[in-house]
Amino acid sequence: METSPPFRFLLLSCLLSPLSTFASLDLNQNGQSDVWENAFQATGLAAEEDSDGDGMTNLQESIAGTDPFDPRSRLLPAIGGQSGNEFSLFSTEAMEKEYTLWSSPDLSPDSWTIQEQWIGRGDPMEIRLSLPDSSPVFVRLEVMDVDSDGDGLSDWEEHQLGYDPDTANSMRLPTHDYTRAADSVGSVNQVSISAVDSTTHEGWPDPAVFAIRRTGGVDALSIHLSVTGTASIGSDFQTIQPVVEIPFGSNTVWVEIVPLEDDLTESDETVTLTLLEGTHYTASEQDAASITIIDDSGSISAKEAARFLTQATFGPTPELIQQVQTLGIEGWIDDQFNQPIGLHQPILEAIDWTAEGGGPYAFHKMRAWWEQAMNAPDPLRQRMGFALSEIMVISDSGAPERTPRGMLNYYDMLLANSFGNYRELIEDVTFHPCMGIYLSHQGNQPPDLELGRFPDENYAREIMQLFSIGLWMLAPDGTLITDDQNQAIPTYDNSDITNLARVFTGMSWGAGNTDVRWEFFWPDVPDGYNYDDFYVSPMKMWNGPFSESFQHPSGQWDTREVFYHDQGSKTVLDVDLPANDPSAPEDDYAYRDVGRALDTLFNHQNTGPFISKLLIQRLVTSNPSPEFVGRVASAFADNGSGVRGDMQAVVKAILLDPEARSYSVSEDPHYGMQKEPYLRFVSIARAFDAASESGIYEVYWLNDQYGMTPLSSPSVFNFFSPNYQPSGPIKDAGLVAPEFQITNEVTGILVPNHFFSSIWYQISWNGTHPNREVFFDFSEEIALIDDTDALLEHLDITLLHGQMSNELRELLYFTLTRPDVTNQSDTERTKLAIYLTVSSPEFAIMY
Amino acid sequence: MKHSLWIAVAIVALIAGVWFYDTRHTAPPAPEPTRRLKPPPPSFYDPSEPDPRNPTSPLARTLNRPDHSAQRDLEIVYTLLFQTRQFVKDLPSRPLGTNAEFTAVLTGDNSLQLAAIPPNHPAVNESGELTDRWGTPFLFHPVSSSETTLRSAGPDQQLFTDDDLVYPEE
Amino acid sequence: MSKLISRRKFIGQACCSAVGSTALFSTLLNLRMANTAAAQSVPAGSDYKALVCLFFAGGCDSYNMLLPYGDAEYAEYAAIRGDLALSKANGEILPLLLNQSIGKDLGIHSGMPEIQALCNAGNAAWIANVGTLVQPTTKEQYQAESVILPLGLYSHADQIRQWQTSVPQDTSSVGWGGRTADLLHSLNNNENISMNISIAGNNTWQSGNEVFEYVVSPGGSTGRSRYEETWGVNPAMSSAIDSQLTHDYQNLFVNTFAKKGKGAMDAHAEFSSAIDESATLETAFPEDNYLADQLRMVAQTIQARSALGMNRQTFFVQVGGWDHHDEVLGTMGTMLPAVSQAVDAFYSALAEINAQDNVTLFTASDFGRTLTSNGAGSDHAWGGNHLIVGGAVNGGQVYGTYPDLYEGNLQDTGRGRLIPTTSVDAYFGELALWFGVSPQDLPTVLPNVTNFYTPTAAGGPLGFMNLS
Repeated sequence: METSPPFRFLLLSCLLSPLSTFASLDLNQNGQSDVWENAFQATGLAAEEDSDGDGMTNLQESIAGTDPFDPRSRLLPAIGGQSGNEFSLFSTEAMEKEYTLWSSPDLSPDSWTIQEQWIGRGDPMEIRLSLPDSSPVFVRLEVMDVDSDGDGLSDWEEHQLGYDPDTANSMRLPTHDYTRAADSVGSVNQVSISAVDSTTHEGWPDPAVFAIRRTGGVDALSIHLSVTGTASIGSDFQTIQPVVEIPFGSNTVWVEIVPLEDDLTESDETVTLTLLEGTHYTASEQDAASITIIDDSGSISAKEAARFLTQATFGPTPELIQQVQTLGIEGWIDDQFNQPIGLHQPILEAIDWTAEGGGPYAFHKMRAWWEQAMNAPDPLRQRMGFALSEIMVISDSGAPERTPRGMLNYYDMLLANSFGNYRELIEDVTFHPCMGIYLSHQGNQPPDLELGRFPDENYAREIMQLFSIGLWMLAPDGTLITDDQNQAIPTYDNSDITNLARVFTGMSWGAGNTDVRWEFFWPDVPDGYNYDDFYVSPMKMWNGPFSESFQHPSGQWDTREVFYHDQGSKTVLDVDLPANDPSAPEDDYAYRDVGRALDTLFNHQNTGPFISKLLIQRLVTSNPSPEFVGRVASAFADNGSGVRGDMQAVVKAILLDPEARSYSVSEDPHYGMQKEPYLRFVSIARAFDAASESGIYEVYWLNDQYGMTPLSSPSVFNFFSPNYQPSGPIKDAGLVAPEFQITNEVTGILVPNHFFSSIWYQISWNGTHPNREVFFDFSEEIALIDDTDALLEHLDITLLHGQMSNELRELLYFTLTRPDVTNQSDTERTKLAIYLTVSSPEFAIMY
Repeated sequence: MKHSLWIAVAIVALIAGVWFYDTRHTAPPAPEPTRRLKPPPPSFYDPSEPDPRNPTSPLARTLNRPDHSAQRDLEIVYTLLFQTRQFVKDLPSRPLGTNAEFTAVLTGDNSLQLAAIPPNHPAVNESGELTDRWGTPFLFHPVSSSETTLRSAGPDQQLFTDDDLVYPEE
Repeated sequence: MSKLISRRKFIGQACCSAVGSTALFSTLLNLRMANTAAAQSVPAGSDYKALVCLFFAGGCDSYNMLLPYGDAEYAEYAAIRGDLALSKANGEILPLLLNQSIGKDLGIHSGMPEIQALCNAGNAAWIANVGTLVQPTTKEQYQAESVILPLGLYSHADQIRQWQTSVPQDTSSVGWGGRTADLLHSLNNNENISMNISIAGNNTWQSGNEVFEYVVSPGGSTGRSRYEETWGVNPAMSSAIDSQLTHDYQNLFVNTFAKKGKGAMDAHAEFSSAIDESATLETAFPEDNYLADQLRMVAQTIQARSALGMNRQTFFVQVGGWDHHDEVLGTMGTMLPAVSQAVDAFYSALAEINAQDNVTLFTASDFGRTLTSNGAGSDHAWGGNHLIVGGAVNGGQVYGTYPDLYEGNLQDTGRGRLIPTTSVDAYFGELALWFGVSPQDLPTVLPNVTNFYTPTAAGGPLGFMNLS
């Protein structure tokens, strides 16, 4: 590598030697930073010796922040390759030190100029020099410590210790950084051990976790352990090392106990770790801890049950976890199929509107919605129904807004069909008056070229695009089919829309008599009839023929025979729907015509994979594998008894699929989904039993905070698109993340702030009826507040189905045991623990 | 977030609504006692005169009938307009501001020639305006192309006084 | 953050080769060159422009804001407005001195003396009888239904939306301010804070396909609850939030969520520190005036433009309560002075920070109102009069065509509802061109504009902005 330069070329590694007290912790006053001494286990080295023989003295290495025992770690640059006039210099760059590159043509004192100055990022340093042809160049590299926050610790030291170089009170602790570092460096390591995740389960290998923590000391510390207990190492759980290291600058090391499935039916077993004597530390009183490995011959793990319930409901509760553990997952699903429907409309109907001071208004829907979200006997159906309401959308931002009863009737219809058959679901959706006014197919009449009248095409388009087959042809596994030009193939064209629009003609008020022409428009209802009742009974079909008056352009009135349902043949998705033969009219032609069109959509090859994938995205993961979609779609195609569209089979296929159920999927960084922000709030409410004294939930007007609330999507396209890709790593990986479409710099603040106000104050206010104010119940958590590890383990199960990362747990532990927190009230500390858990990124994502 | 439209509607509803309904309380005192009220014309429909050509809403026939409340009249007009919008799909492209313009649509001047209210309904005055039971034209307040709120001047036949009736009530 | 500038990686930049024979440190040089190239398209600071939309929600009765003053036209006005007419004799109208006669003498509501002064000083102008149109529309065409009309004409929500989208024939809710930002947001050097800032909540005008409004209150942006507090558990809470959001997570979704959360906090931190660190405005804004509160925040944000790295910004402010079916005279009598004083203070604040030539405020509203009275107030109509304020405005003039006001005139669709003589596209087209939208891009921002104006023509559609 050494090539002789074509001209003189000198490198000086000039270390600006600071005063030993400058921005440096040096309690032993040997001129070498105590932090550096601890970091490299180099306490007390002779300053002028060169322990690793790399040409730099130990003192120089301490100033440069390099390793005195590693000759490759040195500031003095090595000359790298030469290419023409270009040279590379290689050196070791330490974090947060300031480097200055000087140059001079002749070494005269006044000739040095700064060429570049930068702060070290810990990268391998490469300096490329492009030298002039003729004259010599001298360069020199300087390193200097910086103390950005002026707290007496250099930025390098702060970085090593995990402090923030920009503030003298890192982590906003009341203790000054220098004092904190000096206290640590100056004290003896005291080590304790706790079981922070005290159970694991043979059938759900989320590990049990011991945390070994030290106080005092910053150096790397080897801890010696003895392993005892009834479980056998290597056969009941994966082998662990008898010596573990707390790294330099850290205070914790975790020992994870990963259970091994042994096919034995045995009692629960324990693993006990005891701290043994070692150098550089003393064990505290808390020198042993135990965890339990639960045998998988009994019920499933609570963690597994909680994770399942996170997908299958609005959020786990202790009672539901117990239920699932008792019945098993499939057994619980079967049980849910048989639960009565938690209906919403009746709750609204039972309200005394006079006493209420008027109503029902649109917002009152949420009162019923919350009551069922919290208390319904059929939480799985409630979750499914909500998912369907985001696929077959009606919304407050359209005409149905004026009929909250009708909208809840629609929602209840979705619930009723959640465990029925998709074919009935799509029919009930089609005939619901709220859909009729939302996508305006109600009152559609056949085209009349003379009048220039055409049936409205909204519903015809959206039922295909959004409710059944989607825009592009799909393989049975939901992947796009492409043509020989590698182009996606559209499922339908404009002619399909116009034909299908002609099918959705003749539908109108359920309260009308379909034998009477004008009741298509004006049903003859009794005096005093509540016209809002129009929106709670399914639309009916007016076929005809009817005699209709019409006015000639001359003004002359005349009559003619008309049909309100289009009698001609239609072709929808290459399926011919027959005309109604006037000579032999079909009974119930109009209804059957619609039925045949719906059959066509129902039987289309896309419908299974399209609907399956949407439902998987709502419940389990944003990016299901084609195999997963394929398995669910095949359950849609055939429930095992030859029935297509069985929603029970679909629900089971989704929730019992290995890609939903297996523990290992959550280790795939591409797996998971953001829990919808509003549903995150609901799950918190369920976890902490949010309630009012009266049992009434007045939880209204949160759309601005969450970017969503049930039944209020800005359009039929839902709050977010199933194909949305946030820019960044998700998009770069070719993945979608629908819920991120409503995650922005406004909701990024307002969502956690609403969590905050709900936790610290209350969920709803009512000056007139204080017994309607909704509060969380934190009594169980407050009772645990003095055992931080127990509280966190409880929150882990309750909110994170046992998947709380060690880092999050340790952050919460650190936070709750800070001196400025331990002196706060139990309530404050409990709220802090809960708020930090529910506002954590880990809680936002289901994986 | 694409809920701006919803917000806009809400803002309008709020602004318009708050103002529209609250002015009752800030309105000037009732007219001078010397003012003579116009005698209310018979403004409810006599079922002995059915329209042979184009049956209209039975609801319309009950408009302004004395056996129900005046508030119900507003609900009837509101409902008829809402229903008409379900059928006359091109109504948003039709400029609708004045009472007469709304009444024209309600009485069959629309692309379907669909009449919710018979054109010869006694509540339709000689200016083609739909009147309340006291003979004063309703005030149609267009909130959006799919929502129109209503106000009746009430027994004093003066808009924006304490005895006005509005629909929907909020 | 102060050290960020020197944090550079010297490895992995193999693309950097020697530039020029005198180059000693090619890496360095290349970095500088790159920076210069990025900055050249928008010279920092000197080319700042902001549009401020002041929306009068509810439908301002703007024919009592800009109204006839000359005797003949006043008589016409007084006749049609009846009990809604302002009294010239009682001094309820302030005369306007126009740079050029438009054939009519006009005045403004006496509650707006500050606007009168701005106008007479050449810093404010008016657009007469402007409104939503799909294409030029005559009364004959209107009556014959032979033109495409705005959807939901005379209704609040539809007309509010259309004034903000400038596309009256459809129900899209992408605003022209949003489309403008989609085109121009790259001129700003800020990845956290949107080019579009609303002080009045979510709105259609600023919603684009990519760019959405950053919503702040008159008090500033919103951060995480108690994040700045130093008492109780708050320091621990804030520190833990920081740790959570800056941690690198293995799962892409968790990691992305953390980044988004951090981005939201950064947006607030950047916005609030830019506001806090900019000097306090000397200009006194009127008290108890919600519009003034909003406009003060706009002025403060503009003052912080360099700190925020902004070269283009839009702002949305709003005053509601204009739906004067009743009591139009009395209520306008208190509302217009509040507007006038707030806008005047805003202009003074802009002058104070020497940004008056870089900022243009324009008004908008659902619609104008009927010229005839309903006995108590006026009802929903169509065209109305609007105000533009700023140093780049060719002020002291009324643009467009101030219509005749007699009942049944050529623009009257009944009850004194006037068909606009100027379209919102012409109005907004001029503003967009001034703002920096190229003539070629104008139809992207305003899809109907070519029905009213040839974008490649010299000069703006109406001439009220100094486009040079």
